[in-house]
Amino acid sequence: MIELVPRSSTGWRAQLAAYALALVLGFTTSALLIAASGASIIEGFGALYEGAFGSQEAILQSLVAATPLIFTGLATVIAFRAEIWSIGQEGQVFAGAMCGYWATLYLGDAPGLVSIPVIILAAMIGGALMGGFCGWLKTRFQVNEIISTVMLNYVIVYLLSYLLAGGPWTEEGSTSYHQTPVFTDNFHLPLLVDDVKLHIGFALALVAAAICWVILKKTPLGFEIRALGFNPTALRFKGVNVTRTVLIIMCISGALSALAGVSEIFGVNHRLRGDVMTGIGFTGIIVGMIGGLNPIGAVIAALLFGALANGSLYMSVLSDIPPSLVPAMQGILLLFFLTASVLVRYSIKFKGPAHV
Amino acid sequence: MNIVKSLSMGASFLAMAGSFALAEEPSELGIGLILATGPEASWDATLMRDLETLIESAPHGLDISYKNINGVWGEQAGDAMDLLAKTGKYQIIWAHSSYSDQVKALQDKYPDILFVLVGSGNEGLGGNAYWVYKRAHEPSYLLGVMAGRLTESDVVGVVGQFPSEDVNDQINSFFAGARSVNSDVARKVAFIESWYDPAKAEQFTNAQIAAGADLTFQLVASFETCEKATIMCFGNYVDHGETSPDSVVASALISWTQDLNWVIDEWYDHAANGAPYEGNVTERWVSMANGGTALSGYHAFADKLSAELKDEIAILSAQISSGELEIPVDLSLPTSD
Repeated sequence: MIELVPRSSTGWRAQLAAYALALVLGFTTSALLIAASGASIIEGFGALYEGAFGSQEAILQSLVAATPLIFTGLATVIAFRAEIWSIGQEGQVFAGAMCGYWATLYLGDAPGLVSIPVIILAAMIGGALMGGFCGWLKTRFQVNEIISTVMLNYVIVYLLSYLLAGGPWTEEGSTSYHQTPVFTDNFHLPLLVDDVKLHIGFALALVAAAICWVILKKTPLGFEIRALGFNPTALRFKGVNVTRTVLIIMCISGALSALAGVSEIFGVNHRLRGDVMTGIGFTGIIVGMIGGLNPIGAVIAALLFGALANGSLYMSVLSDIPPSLVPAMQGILLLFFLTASVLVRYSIKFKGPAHV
Repeated sequence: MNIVKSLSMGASFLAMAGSFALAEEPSELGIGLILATGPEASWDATLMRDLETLIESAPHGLDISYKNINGVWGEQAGDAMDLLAKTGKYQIIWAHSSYSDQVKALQDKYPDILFVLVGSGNEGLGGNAYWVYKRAHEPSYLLGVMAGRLTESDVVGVVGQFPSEDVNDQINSFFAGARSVNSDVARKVAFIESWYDPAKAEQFTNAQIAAGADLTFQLVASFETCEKATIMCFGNYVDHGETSPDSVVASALISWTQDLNWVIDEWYDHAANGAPYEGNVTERWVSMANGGTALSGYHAFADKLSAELKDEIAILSAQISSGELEIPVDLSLPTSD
């Protein structure tokens, strides 16, 4: 008889081995799929590698794709470590982009040195308010955060739709299309590398990851976040204001997600539209989980996802693999990763049959 | 002979060689398709269907091949176009949605590639960027007339993707048709805020049915929901009555054949004769009279619809095709009553 026994702690070596195994199994299964389709496995994986890490340009493109996922992954880490199951990252990405855009309406020709910090600050406030609102509903009215965050995801998407499609943010000359005009240059996030659109959002994401790590490991707030996840009752008896802690966590998580919206809209697309942000928040949840709810792990997972996204694009264009197989492969890899992230927390025990 | 003369002679030789090369008639054409969703979405499926048909007809004797890149938006779509262009295998890049920001960034980098932009949300770029529009408002009007005649609750619903110009025109025409024959029709409009999301499409369709709609115009193709609720639905872009005969009365069809022929002709003229690209900067669409759109057959509903209704639709259809009945393009944001 096989029994899964939870481990008291999981070392980084075990996690690394589990994810490496997941990678191998995921690629093996994908290879079988490619072979079944009649396409060349070598050509397909060659294109995937080329897109992910094959050149400096490809690596930088992978970093661009990873940037928003680092933010939403970190947002997940902060909330989930406290066992606050916020699914609101998706909506908070939108809220951040929207508040950032709202700020631009008042910034006019302000130079980038002024406008960019204001946009970032406005976005973080927007995301924090949205996260904090769900935290308030949870602490004040015991509203389950899963319900409130999911519902607010819908609300914010439809608010953006109202504003963009015939509302006050509609692009001039267009009676109805879900996008704003293109931003002027002073609202573009400065580039770290020209031509590839690797912008300062990436550097900000790394700084945010470092700050999150420090908060979680080295500060009283970090202790409270972790303790809230382990035993909120004990924390309350210790004299900690749990309501305040929940609100802070939700605000931080919301602000981090909002930065993903800023990164994608002001760093890459340079106009506000909903469809380019879809999925960033939900993918961030997976990134956070695969990263073992650790800030550094989330960064690594986001980089992997970014590389996979860019590699998949190269695979679609440069190989003869049927287009529908590429997302299927991404799904297979994801399944193996998620399975590994769960299984690594358990040890397998073999027991003999019980004798009465 | 001095170096200037040598260089000018060399340049003349190269120019002549270039003109001979231009005069050579191309025999192959590669088309890269940038799709926001993929063949599962009717908008994309119709393009691929018409392209397949066109390949068989081999315009200009061309051996045409294509590659579709599915589900790419924003910067990723730009990267995909750049990659397609870099391979040198694709002479036309057909970006099948609002991608003008990305094409704008690439069109000068690849001056011999013909880019195609499709539908609303784009900017007319001109040069080597051509802009194709699709207006299905005329057959949508006919569907509306049917809905106005067939509804018993006088509540008619539409479930759309995003509120955008080439979605709004169909919805507004549909309701105009319904109200032209039944002024009591109350409108229910919902947008799922996605170009393709079957789960959301089902939720919104069910919400409309719960709100009293006994007919819905499905721009999101949730016909199984119609079947479960035993209500009649209308489809768009492809002939959904073929696959959902129990629920779909008729569909507003679109064809890309003329658009494809147009851009292939333009590319061919450029490649074979050196003609400069002259991409349009204003909307260009093909009317129902000219074969850009059509009304489908009734399939299983052919025996269920009254002869009077079928005659009325046939007359209106003929009037639209002859120009006697003009259906205005109404781009305003449709709302529920």
